[in-house]
Amino acid sequence: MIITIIIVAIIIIYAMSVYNTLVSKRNRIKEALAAIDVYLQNRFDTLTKIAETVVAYATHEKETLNELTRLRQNIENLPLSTDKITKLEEVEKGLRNISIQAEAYPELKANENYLHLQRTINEIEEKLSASRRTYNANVTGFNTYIASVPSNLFANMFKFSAFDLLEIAEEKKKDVDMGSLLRR
Amino acid sequence: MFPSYQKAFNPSNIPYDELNKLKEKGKKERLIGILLYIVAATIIVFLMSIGGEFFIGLGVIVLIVAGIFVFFRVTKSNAEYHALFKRTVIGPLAHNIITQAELKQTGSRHEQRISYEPDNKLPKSWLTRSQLFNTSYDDYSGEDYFEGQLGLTEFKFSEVKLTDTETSTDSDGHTTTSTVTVFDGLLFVADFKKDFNGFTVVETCSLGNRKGAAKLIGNVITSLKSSTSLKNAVKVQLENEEFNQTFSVRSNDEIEARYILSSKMIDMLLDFKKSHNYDIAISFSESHMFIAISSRRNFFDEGIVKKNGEYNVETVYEDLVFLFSIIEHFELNNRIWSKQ
Repeated sequence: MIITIIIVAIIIIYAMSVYNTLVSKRNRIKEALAAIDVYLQNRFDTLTKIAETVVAYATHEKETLNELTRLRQNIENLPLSTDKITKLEEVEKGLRNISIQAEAYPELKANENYLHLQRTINEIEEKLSASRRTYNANVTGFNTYIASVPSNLFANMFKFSAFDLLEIAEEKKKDVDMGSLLRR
Repeated sequence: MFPSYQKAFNPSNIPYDELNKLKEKGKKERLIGILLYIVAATIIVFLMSIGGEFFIGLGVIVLIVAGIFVFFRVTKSNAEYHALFKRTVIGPLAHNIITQAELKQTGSRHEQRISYEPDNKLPKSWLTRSQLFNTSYDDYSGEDYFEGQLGLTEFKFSEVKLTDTETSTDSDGHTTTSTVTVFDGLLFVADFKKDFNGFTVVETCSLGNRKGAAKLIGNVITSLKSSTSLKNAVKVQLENEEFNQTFSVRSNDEIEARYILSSKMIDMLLDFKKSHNYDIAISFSESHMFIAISSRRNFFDEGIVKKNGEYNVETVYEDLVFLFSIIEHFELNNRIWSKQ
């Protein structure tokens, strides 16, 4: 009888430990995702500023920039998720296409404000990369934990499910055709 | 990138006359000291032979005092000799290495300068900021303080020795005090190319059978564990398996740790580890990079060699180049981010 109680107590304590570990791991994933969202917002803002700087020279892109800003406002209201991140990146693609137009304006490229914005973008890109790496590392850790024995038993019981890794879109795996981008 | 030893070292800088004078002074001090000791010993032995216990005790005291007096006089003249040599040779050597270095990038804000203070050491605040040392050590000593800028990167380093006084009491109630060396080596500090607020510590985890490694890592780990700020640190596993087997990373901000430890930085750290035999611990804190190199060598004193009347400081040159190369190895002058 006593042995049974001890065994049950051990199982309960272990279950509590697994639950707390899962909650902690899940929160780290959410934290990493939130950081990605913050850096994406920062990148979007900086890219918009670069695009605005370019549009001052390439006035034909003004309508495109306005459209992209409207799209972004729609996406901002979406709940935080990997889907929202993917949509934001799509809109950013348009901003980058505008930003590349700066290649045609040497005086813009030498502008101190423009250079500062470029450095800021570099920094945000690296922080974004670090956030993605952190997110994927935490997701991998979480998914491994809920799939491993014996924690998988309790993970199913507490209805913890695997997260998806952030993956690179297929088109981003291809080489960039700088020539056609610059000719636009 | 750096000039050769022949270009950097200018033997005409060596003040042979002054050094010879100090050497002669040292010889004279030793001779006077020995004579004084012999005279004092002779008088005391004579007095002891005619006197009683009082003279025996007095004699022993006088001999000890005379011995200490001689020791300090000789040590002082040796120190003056070394200090003059270091000031007139090592200082200009370091200056030539830095000012004659060919940088990959140049610009209006790039500088090449260095200052050297043989008797000075890194301010204590840098040890604390590095997050590598236990702040409760009892004594901090050091020498050979260099400070300068190479390109856009400000740097500073000095020899560092930290000791702790340990008191133990045995079962009989006898207390013994011993001095334990917490760290003996060199601490290199450089302005890092990225801005960050937290701290990340990178420790080597392959100890092997090397006592030095065990000592440094043991001390660093002890320091880290007792450091208040590391209570919030998490272990960070990176994507490079070789890196994870070579280093152990802890940080108070996982994202910031990966921001600092990009794929390129990981490769550079691995290459740096392979390029030398020192036991090292690296940290990134308050936008600075700290490298603690554990070694019982007296870096800049032992490297001064005299053969056939000629001075050779090639070892000192190699040590300086190794340290200055850290800036280029980790591309600290590459400032493509917002920090300039």
